[in-house]
Amino acid sequence: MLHALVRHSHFLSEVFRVKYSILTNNPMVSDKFSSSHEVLFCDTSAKEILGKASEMIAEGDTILNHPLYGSVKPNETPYRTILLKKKGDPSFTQITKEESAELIVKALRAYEKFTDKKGQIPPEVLKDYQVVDLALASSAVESADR
Amino acid sequence: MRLEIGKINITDIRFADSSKIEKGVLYVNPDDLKPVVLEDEHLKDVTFDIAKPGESVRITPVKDVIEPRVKVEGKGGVFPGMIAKVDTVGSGKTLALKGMAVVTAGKIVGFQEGIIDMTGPGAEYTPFSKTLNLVMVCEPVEDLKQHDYEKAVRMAGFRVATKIGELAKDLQADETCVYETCGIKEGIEKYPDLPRVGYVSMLQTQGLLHDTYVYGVDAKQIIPTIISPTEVMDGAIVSGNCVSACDKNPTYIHQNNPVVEDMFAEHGKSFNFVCQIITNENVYLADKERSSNMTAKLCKMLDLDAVIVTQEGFGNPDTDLIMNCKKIEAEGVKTVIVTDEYAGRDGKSQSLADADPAADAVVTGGNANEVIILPKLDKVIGMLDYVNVIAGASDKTLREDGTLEVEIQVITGATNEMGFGYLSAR
Repeated sequence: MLHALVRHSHFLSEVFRVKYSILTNNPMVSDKFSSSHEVLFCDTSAKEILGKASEMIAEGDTILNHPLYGSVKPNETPYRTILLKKKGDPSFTQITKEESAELIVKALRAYEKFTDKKGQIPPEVLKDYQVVDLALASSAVESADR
Repeated sequence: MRLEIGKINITDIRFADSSKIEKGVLYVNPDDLKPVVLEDEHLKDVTFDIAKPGESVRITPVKDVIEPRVKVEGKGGVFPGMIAKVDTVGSGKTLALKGMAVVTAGKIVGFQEGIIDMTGPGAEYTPFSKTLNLVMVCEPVEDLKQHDYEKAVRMAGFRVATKIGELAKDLQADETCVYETCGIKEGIEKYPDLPRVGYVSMLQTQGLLHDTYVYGVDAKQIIPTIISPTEVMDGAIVSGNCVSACDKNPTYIHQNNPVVEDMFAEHGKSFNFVCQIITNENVYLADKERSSNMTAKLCKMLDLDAVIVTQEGFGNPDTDLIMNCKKIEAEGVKTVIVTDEYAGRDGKSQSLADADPAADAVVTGGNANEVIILPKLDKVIGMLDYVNVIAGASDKTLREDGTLEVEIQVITGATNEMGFGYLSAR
């Protein structure tokens, strides 16, 4: 079972235009945003992050960034960061719960087409994947917060 | 806008004591170029190498490919907003060094893709096996962050290409092509009976290693706009994209966009080529909606009858592609989309991450998951250190005999979504 570690910081959440949480398995994303945003850090695989996002969508959250973001291919990068708009947030909703769920299903299907590189990636390259994932996640956070 | 492209055919590149172009031969003194690269404090060294078609050479990992050009008449200079001032370019005369390219190579991040083989089966898949390549591998200062390294190498490539382009400024062109676009009213009056056709160019804009710049602006910040294709020929759009080797658009492909080339060839004959519309591919879903809405609206406002839409990259850009297609078609404008496929190694999987019945006219650049064996070559420019972890590779990639078993997605330009390549199903 996934264990989500909620890293606090609700104090700023009131001022956000969109109330959302950042679901990630990337420690760099967690380090950067946990003092300003609600970060759900799960020490798990990228594919399982999508599974966790799916569960949150079933509960009523909707997705804010595309789950296949980045041209770093599924299964190539071990990291994934998903922004989920909280159920009940009054700001405009770009896509519905059903559309969010469909995007995740399509993303999971894409994972089947790429070789899983789990365990083959040297530590210094893992850091590079974290940096790129952080940059792509930051680009989504920037859009969400403006 | 009217732009003349004067072509200077380069038939050989040689290292020499002085840098010049003489009788089609580019002579390069690396000592002339080194200071141009090292004026950026983030770079501590650079090595130059030459790779020619047919040689047993592999260049990897490739970052960008750039065609040297120089503006000799008209406003501005090449790469406006990056190298030259932000004057509006695309008019007057520009000289282009044909048959050659500046290639920036070297590891920005450990998983960076991009292979150019100058010979063998891999060479068939990359258009840059046919160019004489001046390759530069930049070495960063200690502990340089990936963002700064990417920018330093990107800009160094443009500076070197500009410096080489300037060697041609007093030369006579071997051949001249004229590209001319009409104003809206002029086009309607001149070609009243021809369909009005536009070109929608989607730019990769997701973040680090996935960026494109328009007149120096990070294109993820733009809303879709109209541009003259001749501006792009002068370097108004440049690539900051390091990943997705097979279906990214290096700067060279923007400069020599084959869709634009073919549309100009038909301009005033079978249709009126009205303009190029540029849009982005952001990671945030609301950005995707906004950009595709604006793109469709522009097509409608310009009274277009049809557009060709080209994509860059795979995965979430498929969503942008389909959103563009659906919304443009809903405005009554016909679309043809150009993409590539990730259909699995056996070709049996769903090709795109998104689809819609409106996408009923599709051109493909090929299946990026197709497997190829690349032979061991005599020389590697760059490094093969991480070849097992790049996209399209696996722990079985580097085989005992030195050959590489990879998917064609590792090859620069293999499934280019502007159709910049030599392979077809015909």
